[in-house]
Amino acid sequence: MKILLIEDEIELRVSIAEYLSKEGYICETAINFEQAIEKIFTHNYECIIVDLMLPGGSGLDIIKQIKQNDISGGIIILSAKNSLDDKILGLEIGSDDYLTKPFFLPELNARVKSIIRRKNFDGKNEIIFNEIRVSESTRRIFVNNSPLDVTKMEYDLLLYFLGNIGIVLTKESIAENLLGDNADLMDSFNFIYTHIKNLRKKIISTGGGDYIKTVYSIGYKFGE
Amino acid sequence: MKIQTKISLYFVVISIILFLIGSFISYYVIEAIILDEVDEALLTEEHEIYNSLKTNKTPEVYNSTIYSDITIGDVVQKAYRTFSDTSIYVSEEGETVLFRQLISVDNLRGKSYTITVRQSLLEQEDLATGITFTMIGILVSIIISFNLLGIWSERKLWSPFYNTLSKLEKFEIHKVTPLVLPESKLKEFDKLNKTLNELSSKIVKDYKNLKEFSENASHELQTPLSILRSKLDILIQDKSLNESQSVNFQTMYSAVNRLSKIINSLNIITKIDNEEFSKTEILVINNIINSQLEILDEVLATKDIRIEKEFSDTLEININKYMAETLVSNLLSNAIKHNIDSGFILIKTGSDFLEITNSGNALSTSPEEMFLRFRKESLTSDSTGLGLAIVKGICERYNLSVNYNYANHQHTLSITVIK
Repeated sequence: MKILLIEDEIELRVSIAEYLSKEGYICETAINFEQAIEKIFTHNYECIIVDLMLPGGSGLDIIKQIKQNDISGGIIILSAKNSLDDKILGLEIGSDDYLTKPFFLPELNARVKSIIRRKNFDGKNEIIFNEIRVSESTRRIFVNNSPLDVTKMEYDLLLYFLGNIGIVLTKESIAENLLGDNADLMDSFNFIYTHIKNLRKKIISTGGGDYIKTVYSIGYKFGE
Repeated sequence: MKIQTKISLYFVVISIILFLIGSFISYYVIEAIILDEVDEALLTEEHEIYNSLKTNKTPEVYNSTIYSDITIGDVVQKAYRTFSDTSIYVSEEGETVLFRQLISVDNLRGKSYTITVRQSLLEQEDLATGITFTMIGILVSIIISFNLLGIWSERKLWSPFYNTLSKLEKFEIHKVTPLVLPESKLKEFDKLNKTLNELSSKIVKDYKNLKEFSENASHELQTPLSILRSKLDILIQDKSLNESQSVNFQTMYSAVNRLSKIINSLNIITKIDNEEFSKTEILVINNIINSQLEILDEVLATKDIRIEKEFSDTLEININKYMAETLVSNLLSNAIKHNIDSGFILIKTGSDFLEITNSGNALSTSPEEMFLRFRKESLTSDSTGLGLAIVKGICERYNLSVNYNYANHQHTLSITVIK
């Protein structure tokens, strides 16, 4: 699966590409407007990650080109500008998601996966990990085919874990995934621990494995 | 006090002093000149009488009046002449009149003749009165004409100044248009206008630069932060990390997190200060409160905070939508952040106010400092300390007043529409 990353900042480009490559994607990069245009017209990508501020032009114009020419592939905007107008405009002209810098790499990873999933299996949008099956369209979790009664937070938590299997997730990134900007209203990350404890208990009691591991001081990791 | 009034006042005082001195000097000068003239006239008359005595030899025929008189006596050793002032009652006028007299004594043909000639002097009183009235007349007419000149000059000459003043009063820095003051024919005002024009364009330019700088700074900082965070995201995946390395990475991670939040808040404050978000509409704040509460639902549930609503009336404000949402969410966030476990938040609205009360411990610092940037309660040092500064910024922008009150372990922040 090929991803195009359009980002002018070299270090960020390297980090994202490295991270996504580990996830099994082939990550190609473009460093400016011209290169990006050239690549979207000559190759097919499952997902295109666009920085809005580029040398030679705006990321928004690239998205317009993609849409006008019916080029397939999901689009995620990366922007350093935390501007509502840009966000609305970006989504209006056809981008699928929007991330504000500085973002968490696992968050980007989860969103890339989610978009590719949505594009590829329209309708029957499912994530399967061993005995765990998540139906994104109905927002339900099944373990060994029996439905799991989970809260919204627990569902989001599992989805975030499944999007980042084998990756260490920091408490900060989990908190932001669950609560967005409201994450900093919490005095501590204890609430994450509570949700994880409950989720783990529910999965195990339905015959599932114990996949959530604590990483000392940093956070958690989901995997075998 | 206006400059013109002040000048007039000084002018009147100085004129009065000068005219007083002038009056005294003229009085004595005029008096001296008159006396000199009278004395000369008396001498001439005395000479005539003396000469006629010499030739006619018959002093007896000379009629004695108050103006001239001749008496005969014994021979004196030495002839002399003396001038003196004397008051004599004049029956025709019915009053005592001041006279200047010359008494001349001389020997002639074995006798002494005393010739007295007199001339009535102008009354000192009359002279003083005359001078006083003249001086007052001049003084009054000068003062009146000076003031008329003042009124005229204020209307005519000072009009460019008042014009400049009214433009200065209307000058607003964020409008980003420098002053354009006209040229004036008067050198001073022309210079003033030119200086103000230059000053205002410099201010506007500096303001623009500063605005751009703060916008760019908060924006540009996000990229290096992204790099930092992405590198940390990769580093923590390393399976060979030992415990102390993990702790260090965690510390760095949360520092990056906080920095990013501070920059975000500063970014919003800069945008409010720069009067972005200019599009406004009439919004029902109650609806915004409800939708923001929905967003905060999970946080409220996790912290077990009870929400009570007392919407006695709907609050409508002409405000930018994003600003209204930011205002309400910051107020609610503040009420959540400084709450206690299993506490409550009471939201009251009326047609012109919004009041949010939350349970919580007493503040450790003074309430006045609450709205300052980077002020925060040490208890929750995780917060950026910018939330209420944002609230204050938005309130100032939309003509709302914000007040804080603490009583019985309850914090109340109230926003009131300034009529």
